Amino acid sequence: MNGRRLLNNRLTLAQVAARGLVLCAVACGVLPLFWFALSRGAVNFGTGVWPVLLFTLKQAAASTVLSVVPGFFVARALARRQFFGRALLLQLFAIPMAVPAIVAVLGLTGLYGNNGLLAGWINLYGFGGIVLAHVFFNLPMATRLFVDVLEQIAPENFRLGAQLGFSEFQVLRQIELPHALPAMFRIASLVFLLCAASFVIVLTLGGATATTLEVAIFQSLRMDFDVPRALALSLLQVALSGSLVFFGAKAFSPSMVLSRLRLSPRRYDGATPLAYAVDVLLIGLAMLLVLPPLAVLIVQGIFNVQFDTPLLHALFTSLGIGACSAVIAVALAWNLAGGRGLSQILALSALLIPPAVMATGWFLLLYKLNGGVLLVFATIVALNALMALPFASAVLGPALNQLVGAHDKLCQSLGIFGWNRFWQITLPQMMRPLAQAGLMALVLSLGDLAAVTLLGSEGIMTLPNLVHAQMGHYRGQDAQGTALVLMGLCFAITVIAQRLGRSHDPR
Amino acid sequence: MIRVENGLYRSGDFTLTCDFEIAAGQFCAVLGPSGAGKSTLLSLLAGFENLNSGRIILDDIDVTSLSPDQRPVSMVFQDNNVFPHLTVAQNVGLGLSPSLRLSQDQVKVVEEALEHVQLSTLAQRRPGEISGGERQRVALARVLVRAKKILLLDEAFAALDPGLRQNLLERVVAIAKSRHLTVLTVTHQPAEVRAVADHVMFVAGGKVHAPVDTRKFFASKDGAIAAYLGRLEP
Repeated sequence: MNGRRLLNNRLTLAQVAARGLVLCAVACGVLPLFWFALSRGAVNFGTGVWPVLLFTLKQAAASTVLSVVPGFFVARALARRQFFGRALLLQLFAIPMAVPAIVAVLGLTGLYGNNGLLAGWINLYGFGGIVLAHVFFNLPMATRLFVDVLEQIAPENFRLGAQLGFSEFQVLRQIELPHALPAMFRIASLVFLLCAASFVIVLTLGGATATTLEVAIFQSLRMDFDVPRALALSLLQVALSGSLVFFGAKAFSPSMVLSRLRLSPRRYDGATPLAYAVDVLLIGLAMLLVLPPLAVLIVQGIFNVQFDTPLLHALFTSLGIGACSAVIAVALAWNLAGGRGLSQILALSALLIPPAVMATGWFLLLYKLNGGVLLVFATIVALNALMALPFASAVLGPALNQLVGAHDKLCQSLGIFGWNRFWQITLPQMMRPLAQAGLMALVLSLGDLAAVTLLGSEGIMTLPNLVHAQMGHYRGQDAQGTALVLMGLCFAITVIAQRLGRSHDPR
Repeated sequence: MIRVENGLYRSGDFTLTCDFEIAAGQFCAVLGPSGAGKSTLLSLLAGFENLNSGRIILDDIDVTSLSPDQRPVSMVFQDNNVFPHLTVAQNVGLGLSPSLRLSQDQVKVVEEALEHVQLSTLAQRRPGEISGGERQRVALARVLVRAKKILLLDEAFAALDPGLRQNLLERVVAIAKSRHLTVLTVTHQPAEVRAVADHVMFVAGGKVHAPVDTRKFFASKDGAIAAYLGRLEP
């Protein structure tokens, strides 16, 4: 046991409180389900449950393969080329992470939907559409994570390869793949996890047959009120997520959204015209995946933005929920950072026990309590905070650990402890990561439709909610306008967070 | 033999000019303050960087526009000389065939090289299982099998203990003598090369100075050299 561990093994009150709060939230999510099931009969693993599991696995597997494998090769193309606009391109690849799912769905509908520009290219409603939407989000994310991995390869490796006359294939086999394979496993787990638990995309693009566990939980609870079935689905979902989360969690990195400027090692391979053509094609195809749906939305939405009362109302509701949950997520992430075991699991609780499951339990409690709008608002904030927690932790955790490691001995020798240390030493140096984590949590909460759909009541209308409602009422143009406002907001916040990230990077 | 004619390298604010010749079989140390361009000089010779103008001639061949693998050069870095997923023998074998398809004769050459650096017993280990000094010996074994006439050492032994450093340097000297190699070694330890280097090249102020005799270098009255060596001005 090293010195740092010794110092840290006494938890502060805030750290205890953070653990207690998350534990309590999880308990409130899980326990009512069991209680309800036990009091009303057994869990129902009836015939309707297994096809849902199968479809969940099938679409997640397809989405993962189509995101991770091409993502690696796009990343490779980007890692070995230096060209004007490369940094901008990498930033563009961060956009999908910042785009709310409902906005992306609207963009994809505008392009490939029944009335879209490319109608008929792909059946957007069902398996194909769900996979396409998942790839839209996850291929760019995987690309960014892989670029990170490839840029960490020591420059000497490429120099050695060049001196020994490695062919392009040998560079791939002896240098890049040995480095990238462990990361590939982690990234694939993460993508699979996100796709298996995806809610909004399946809710909007899936039909009656194409439904995943998450959405089926929601449907059996809110539409059919079939709790035994919901419980069976929830158990499957937890088992699925639980088996993936420990691999996938390691892939969580600020680079999913934030850009870091790093000198990438100079490369000597890929100088042939063929390699050049392949790289241009790969990067071009990736851009064709990411940009057109967003462009369609901008072009169609720009003339339909109406700052009327419903929009402004939804805007303020969203900002309110987003700000509250961002503050809570950051506070929790701060107090869970640095720990191992329980605190690490708690930070990932929203991945382990997916929102639909958590919300099911909470919903049952609310139903009993018959709470008012304010209580519903509070639970939406809490669920959003839990969902943003893994991301906030990914930003704050490493920064905080590094800081503690770097200054621990100095602070000890100077006798700076407790509140003084927090106020004088830690906080000033953590301002940027704190702001970044907060902004990331804000973006996620602003764009979230899952929590508000799972828990919401008539009285609460957020921006993603409004987009969804307008889509449902065949007011497509209004929906586009609202979606553009939402996208603009999320994009602006992401850009600010990225700017902060750039000056934060020590290099 | 190494010859650079009117060499100019520019990268951002950094410039490096060089114009010198080192005869075949010479052992030459490259000294100079940090950031002066010592490693850049080696990168230029190895082909990892390219001159903006001028020519590089290695063993009577104009290599200015040749890629790194076409140049008669082997290089040993401070770190990352070996691939962690390959065995010691495979790492050496890469020097003969990048695809690692070795003929019987080539396998023998690898075995001999490993014997030469006393690593035969570790041939099937992976780099993670051997010490830092042993990893650098793997790199030396690869230099042997590649049999290129020019050897560039970029602070190759800087991370090792003084005793080990001396030991490996003596090995290099022995190899260079027996194979008639031209050696250029970048180092931050002037004292260590004093005994073994024939010449010293001083890199400072954006210029690679032509090699001078080692004894003359260490007795130099030149202000920049004296300051670098930490001698008080007379």
